[in-house]
Amino acid sequence: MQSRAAPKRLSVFARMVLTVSLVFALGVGATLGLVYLLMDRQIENLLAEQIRTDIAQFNRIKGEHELRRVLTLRLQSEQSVGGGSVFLLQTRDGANPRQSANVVGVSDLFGNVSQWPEGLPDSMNAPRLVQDAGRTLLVQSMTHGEDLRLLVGRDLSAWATVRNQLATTLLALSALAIVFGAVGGLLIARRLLFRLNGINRFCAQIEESGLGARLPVAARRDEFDQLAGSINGMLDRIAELARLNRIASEQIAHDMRTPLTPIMATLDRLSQPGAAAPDHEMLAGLAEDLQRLRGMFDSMLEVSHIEAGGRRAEEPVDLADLARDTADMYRPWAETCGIDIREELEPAAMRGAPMLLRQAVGNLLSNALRYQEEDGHILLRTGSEGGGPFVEVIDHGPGIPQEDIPRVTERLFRRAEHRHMDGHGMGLAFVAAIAKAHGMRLELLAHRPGHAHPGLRARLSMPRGPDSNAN
Amino acid sequence: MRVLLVEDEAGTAEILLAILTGEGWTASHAANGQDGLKMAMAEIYDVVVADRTMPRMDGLSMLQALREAGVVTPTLVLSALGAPEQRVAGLESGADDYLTKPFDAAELVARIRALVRRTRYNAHEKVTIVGDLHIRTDSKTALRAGEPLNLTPKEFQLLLFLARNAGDAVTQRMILENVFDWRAEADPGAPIVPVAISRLRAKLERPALPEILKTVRGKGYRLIDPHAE
Repeated sequence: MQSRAAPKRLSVFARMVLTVSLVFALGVGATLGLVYLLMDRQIENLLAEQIRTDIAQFNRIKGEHELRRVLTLRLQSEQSVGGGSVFLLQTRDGANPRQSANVVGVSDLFGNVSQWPEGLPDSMNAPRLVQDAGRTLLVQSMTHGEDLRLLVGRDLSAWATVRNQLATTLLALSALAIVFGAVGGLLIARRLLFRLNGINRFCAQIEESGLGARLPVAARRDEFDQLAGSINGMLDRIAELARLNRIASEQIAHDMRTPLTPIMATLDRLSQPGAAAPDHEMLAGLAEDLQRLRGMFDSMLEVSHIEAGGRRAEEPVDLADLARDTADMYRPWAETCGIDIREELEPAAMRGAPMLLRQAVGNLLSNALRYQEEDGHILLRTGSEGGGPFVEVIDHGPGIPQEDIPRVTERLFRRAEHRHMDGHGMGLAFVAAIAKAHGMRLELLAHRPGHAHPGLRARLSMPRGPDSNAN
Repeated sequence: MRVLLVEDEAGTAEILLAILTGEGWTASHAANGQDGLKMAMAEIYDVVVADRTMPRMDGLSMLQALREAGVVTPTLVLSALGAPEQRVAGLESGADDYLTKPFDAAELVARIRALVRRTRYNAHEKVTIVGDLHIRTDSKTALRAGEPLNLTPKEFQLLLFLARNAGDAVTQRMILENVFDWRAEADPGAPIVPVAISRLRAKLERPALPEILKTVRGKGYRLIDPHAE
């Protein structure tokens, strides 16, 4: 059993772990990537804000001299402390501004940018990225006075380290996420597989030990418990069918023997040497016995056919009309028996095979007529209860002992004391089969419990009334 | 009467042929649906009796092909498949009657007779006359020797069914099926037909008049015209 389950388990296991860790890692990766992008944007925004502040400050400065002084201070601080600010002051035609004696540390080019970026206008509303001597700068230009232009910016290279650190951290986090995902997937898969394997082992065990065992169902009622419940229900049904089958086989064997015995005896006698030629009466008797046998076979075949599904030939039916017709059919015989068939018929619409439903009602009536004492009455009722159509036949006969009720509908079952009566014992089995084919329920109840003649209330009903709105 | 039997099983065919010729009918035999189709199209038969399950071409396909070719010979389908939807499928493909195996010889013969008759009489005929019996379908009344019979609707239907098959025996199964809308395969669990017949007989027969509703032992019931017999 293990060897058979192993390859499947591996593949499901691997797929589960892979899927869970992949999805987890993708999720975390996407989140971190987004964080990285947002932070990158945030840094640029921050620098752009600083540049705007600088430009506003420089705009307020009056006169070239003052501008140079401030710029010189900023450049000096940049050289000593650093901070990533870049400046370039030029005349508008591109030449360096006039030299001044009190500017210190800055020679021919006033600023720390190698040249005015190509194509950059003299005045801009928003900063932009440019390359300068291998550095990436975020710069904005402005004019000052009549003939000067000033480039104010920040060196992004200074931030590159921070960015790299951030990226490394995020990548490490992603890698960690893959590990966590794999572990999580492993744990979930193991938990699921543990329970799945329990069911698997149980099914394998059923194959070996028979239908007696049942799966434990925990109170938490999760999907696995539901699965266990379904499997148990299926096993109950299979066990019940197997039991019915066994009983039916025994009954069939027994019931077949009854008509076969006289046939065998007669044929045996006729085949003796010197036996008299068979007369007409003898042959007629043989034919009758064979007829009975055939009737039994036919009935059994019929029940299986109907059970296998006679629903396809269905149409709208009112059980009240159908019951009235069927009662009319049986009434002459009932009157001959001194029994009155009373009707209480309310509309009971449903969909079904009318021929089969008529047979079901007929079988219930003939059954009631068989057990009803003379000078009594049987009651035929139809109607709708809670949207579900029903038909029921009530007699006042001996009823069915409580313990026999579940077995009555089984094929060929007849209570021992009624074996002498005619019929193949198939009546209620037919009704049960027809009920099943229509999704209806057959109930057999004592009509007057405790009474000397409790009677039988045989009721066919549609549990819910999904079809009752049909007409 | 000329009967075409289409049956693949040799043993069954032999018995059926014996039954058919035993009635004095001329019976031809085809061993499969294809041959059956050819024969039914080439010659004129009064009735076709076809098995349902056969190799090469099954009975229902043969029947469908026959109907599509415009051949309307009344056809009875024999089948081991008796579930209601099987019967419906049989009748839908053009069968005029459907008999579930196994069956009695008498049942088969009675059904063939009724089938041939049914295609001969006019179902809309207003008056059916058998001897001194007059049945009016429009007013649903029946008269015996001019005197009205007080029949229930079911009794009237039963009498009409017997009258339309007058001279021939009809079986209990046929009566259950045609008069009571009962499945031919089902056992009603009570002597429905004998009781109905005896009630009809009580209303129909008069001491002064000849008996016209006969019981045919092992076969069924027969309505006769005493002067024609």
